[in-house]
Order: sequence, then structure tokens, then C-alpha cells
Amino acid sequence: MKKVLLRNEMIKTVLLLISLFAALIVLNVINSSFLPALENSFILKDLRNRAFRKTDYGRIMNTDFIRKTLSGLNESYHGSIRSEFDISLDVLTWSLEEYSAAPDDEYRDMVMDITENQILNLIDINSKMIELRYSLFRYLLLTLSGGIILQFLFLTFSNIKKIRFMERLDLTERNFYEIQKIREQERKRIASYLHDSILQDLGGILIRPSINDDPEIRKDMEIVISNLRNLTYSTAPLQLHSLGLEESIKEYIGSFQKSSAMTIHFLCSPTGEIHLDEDEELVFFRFFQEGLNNARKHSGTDTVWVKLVESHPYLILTVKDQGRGFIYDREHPEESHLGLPLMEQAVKSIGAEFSVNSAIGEGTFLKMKYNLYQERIDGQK
Amino acid sequence: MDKSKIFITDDHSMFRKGVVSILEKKSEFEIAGEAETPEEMLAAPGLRSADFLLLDLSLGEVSGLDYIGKIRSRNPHVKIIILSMHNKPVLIKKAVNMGADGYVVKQSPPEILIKALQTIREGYKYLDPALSDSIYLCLSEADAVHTVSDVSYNSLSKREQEVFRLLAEGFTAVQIGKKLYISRKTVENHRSNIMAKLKLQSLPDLISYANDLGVI
Repeated sequence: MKKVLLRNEMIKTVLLLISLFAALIVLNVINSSFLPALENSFILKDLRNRAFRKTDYGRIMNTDFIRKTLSGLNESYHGSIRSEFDISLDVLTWSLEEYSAAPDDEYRDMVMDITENQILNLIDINSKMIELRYSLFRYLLLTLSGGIILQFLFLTFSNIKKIRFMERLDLTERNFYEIQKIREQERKRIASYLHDSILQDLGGILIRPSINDDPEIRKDMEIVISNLRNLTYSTAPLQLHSLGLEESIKEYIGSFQKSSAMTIHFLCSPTGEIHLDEDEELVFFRFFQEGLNNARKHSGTDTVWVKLVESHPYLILTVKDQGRGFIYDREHPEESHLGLPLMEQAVKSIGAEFSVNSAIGEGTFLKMKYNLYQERIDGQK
Repeated sequence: MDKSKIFITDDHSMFRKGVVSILEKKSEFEIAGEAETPEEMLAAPGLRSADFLLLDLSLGEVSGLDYIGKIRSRNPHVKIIILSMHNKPVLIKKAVNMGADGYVVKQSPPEILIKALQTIREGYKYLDPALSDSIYLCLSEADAVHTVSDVSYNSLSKREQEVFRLLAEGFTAVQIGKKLYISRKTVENHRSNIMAKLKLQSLPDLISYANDLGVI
């Protein structure tokens, strides 16, 4: 994904540079010759209209006006057009001198005709220049437009891909949340069935006088019931929601200490009633269970601290030991710590933060931090 | 002595029939009625005249304990004995706190139930001896499983809790003000209040306190 993003960024940069380059050329073209040529066209048009005037004695040439106009022309022409322009200017300069020194009317008329032709020639040359510059301008404008359109399409396309990728990611997270939910529901269903059906049936059998009369059978049945009850509790914490998180944790610690010979210090600092729904409570409880089980299996120590504290707007649960620690690689977890990445996913699926701080010889610190006032992943709250 | 009238509510018919058969053998008891669900129980006329109610803790999706209030409104004098497969101290404690007069584990011998009825009839409360180990362990674990209900921390307002945590995380007053959209002066005021309420002298004290509490 990173390579794709990098490639996309490079392509965007190249397209942007092309567009900028084209834009610069266009601006230069406009500035250097197109505008001057356009200006000249107005000047020359004016020159054509006012170079001559009719009098009672015939047509005369406004030599001062022509001289003044010619000196005001922009001369930013290039190449062959420049040569043609210069020739016409030279002829016009000569014709102005000849007009002033004309010996007779016939010569004067001839000079005026030449002058008029050269003015028309200048107009023609200027038009050619405008046409040429306009063509170039048109091509550059097309390139610029093309570059911008390509960039826009590319950006749109890559954004669509990005959005789809994020949607898929979001879908994956939602799917995980749903899968987790289904998994816990299934565990609850199994535990409920074990408790409400199998255990109750055994209880019903146990109360029969015939069973009571045989101490050995009674004792065996009690063992079976006890084992089944423990299995029920380990499959799903059926009383979690009715007891609440704090009481359920305390109750679990009690049994845990019995079976593990570990000492668990539980510090709970609620400042009021903690309002969690069943799914959220379960994730907290499973996080706590995972933390304790990891400490029992891997820490090599016999003391664990569990802390549950409300720090507005968060509810924070931590499990800490001062044992041997480990290196947590989320992408490639050790076989012995496979539960942690799954736990992380479960915690994140309800929108909580998950962190693991552990180092060899420095113990392990697991933390879960949940904003009690956030909107849930399924849009509720 | 008049017979004690006993009403039984349990969603498991096999168990209920077993209890009925045991009690019917005893001349001192008579069955006032049976119910499978809380609704059936509350609607049954036998509940109003019963001396004892044998109430299952788990009635399907609901807990029998949640109906104690309504039961008492139908029959204020009825003695309630919880019957359950659960032997968790926390559940026993909850049952006792909600007004149960006795707690018997279902897998205990029938004599235990008879003993419970007789003891409570005498005016005492009764806990199944099978629960002794659990309760004893619960009492002896009190030091290890303790709740720090820190009165000082409980006295912080929600805003003060936020400022407290951000200070412990190393943010300055200016940064906290920006995060919470309040002025630096307001942050300083909150800080003073927090220090006073928690009886702290310095920022290192505050950080240490937050660490002990589990905030950081």
C-alpha cells in the first residue's frame, strides 16, 4: 500500500510540474509577443484610417502622425516576420522623406500609394504574428488544460481508491466487531444452556430421595455438577451484567486466587455508577481475564495489580505485573501471546484505546482506555 | 402447629417436582402453589397466603432477586429462601442485601432445605453449610480484593478529573486550556482545587497519585 501511495504521489507531482511548466510558457508567450502584437493591431488600424485625409486640393498624407505612430509601434517580432516588418518600416521612413521632398503632385501621389501599401503590409504582418502566437497559445492552453484535467481525474480516481480502501478497512473493523459479538453470543448461549438446562437437570436428579440414599452416587454427582458449573463460568460470565463490572472482577479474582496461588490487588475508584452496555462490559471483562491469564502463564511473578478508575470522560482498566516481561510484536506475536492481538482488536472494536508496555525483565503493563461518551461503532449512544 | 404453606417458583419443572415431593412427605409443610415464571408467580393466589417462597435465582433471562420488591408488596410477611446452582459469594451477598431470608444450593441434600425452612420459621436466617468454604474464603480474601473507594478522588468534579489526568500526562496549563477550550487561568484554578482536595503539594506528587490510582 505504501508503494502504491508513493507512486501515486510521484505521478501527481509530475503532472503538477507539467501543468506549471505549460502555465509558465503560456504566460511568457502572452507577455512577450501576443499582447504587443495585439496592441499593434489597434495602432495600425488607427494609422490606416488617419494616415491620409482628403482636402479640396486632393488627398494629402499626415506625415507627422505617421512618423509619431511608427515610433510608437511595438517591435517584438522575431524571425522572418521581423525581417518583413523592418523592411516595411524602412520603406515607410523613406516614403515620409520622399513625400516632403516630392517635386510634383504625380510623384507625391506615387509616394502616397507606396505608403498606403506598406501600411497595409504592416497590418498583414501583424495579423500573421497574432495568428502564429494565437496558435501557440492555443496549443499551450490545451496542454495546460489537459494536464489539469488529467491531474483532476487522477486525484479523483486515487481518492476513490483511498475511500474504498478506508471503507474496506472500516468494514473489516465492523466485521470484526460483529464476529466478536456473535462469538460471545454463542459462548453465552452455550453457557446458558449448560447452566439452565444440564445443571438444572442434574440438580433435579440429585434431589431425588433414591439418590440421597446412596452417598457414593450423590458424591459423584456433586463432583460432576461442580465441574460443569466451573466450565459454565469459564465459558461466559453469565452474571456480568446483573452484577456489574466491578463486582464481577472482584468475584473472578476470588476464584482466580484460589486456583493460581497468586495475589491480586484490585483498586477500584469509581466516582459514580459506571454505565456500560453488555458488549462493552464484556470487552472490559475479557481484557481483564486475558491480562490475568497472561500474568499467570508468563510473568513468573505472584503479584498482579488490577486498577479500574473513572477519569472523565474515560474509564481506564489496567493490569500490571512486575514479572519477566516480553517483547510484543503486534504483527508477528509469539505463539504464547496470540491472545493479545485478538484482545487488541476486540478493545478497538468498541472504540477503546489499547496499549501494551513490556520489556524483558521489566514487567508488563496492559491498559485499556474507553471514552464513556463516544458514539459506538454501531452508531448508538 | 399449623402447617407452613410453601410456594415454589422455579423454571425447571423436574427440580420443582422433586422439591414438591420432598415437602409433601413432611407433615409440617403444605404446598401453597407452584410457578414457572415470575409473572405466573405474581398472579398466583397461593403467593398471598404463603409462609415461605422457594425462589430460583435464575428464571430464564431474569433474576429472581429482581422480583423481591413485588413479592413483598403481594405478601409482606412471606419468608424468601433462594434456591440456586450458584455458590458465588457475591451472589449470596446480593441475595441477602435484597432481603432474602435464606440461601440453599440446589445440589445440597434435601435435609438442608428442610433445615432451612425450620430454622427460618424459628425466626433466624439460614445459609447452606455448603457455602461455608466460599464465604470463609471471601472473608479471608478481603485484604487482597479490596476496593479503594478514594473519597478524596471521588470529590473531584468531572472537569477536575480531566485536568488532573492531563496534568499527570505532562500537559502544560496552556495546552490543557486549548484541549478543553478553557482559559489558562481556569486551568490554574482547577489545578489549585485538585491539589487542595487531594492534599498534594507538588506536580510530582500529583503524578505519583495518578500512577497509584491507575489514571496513567
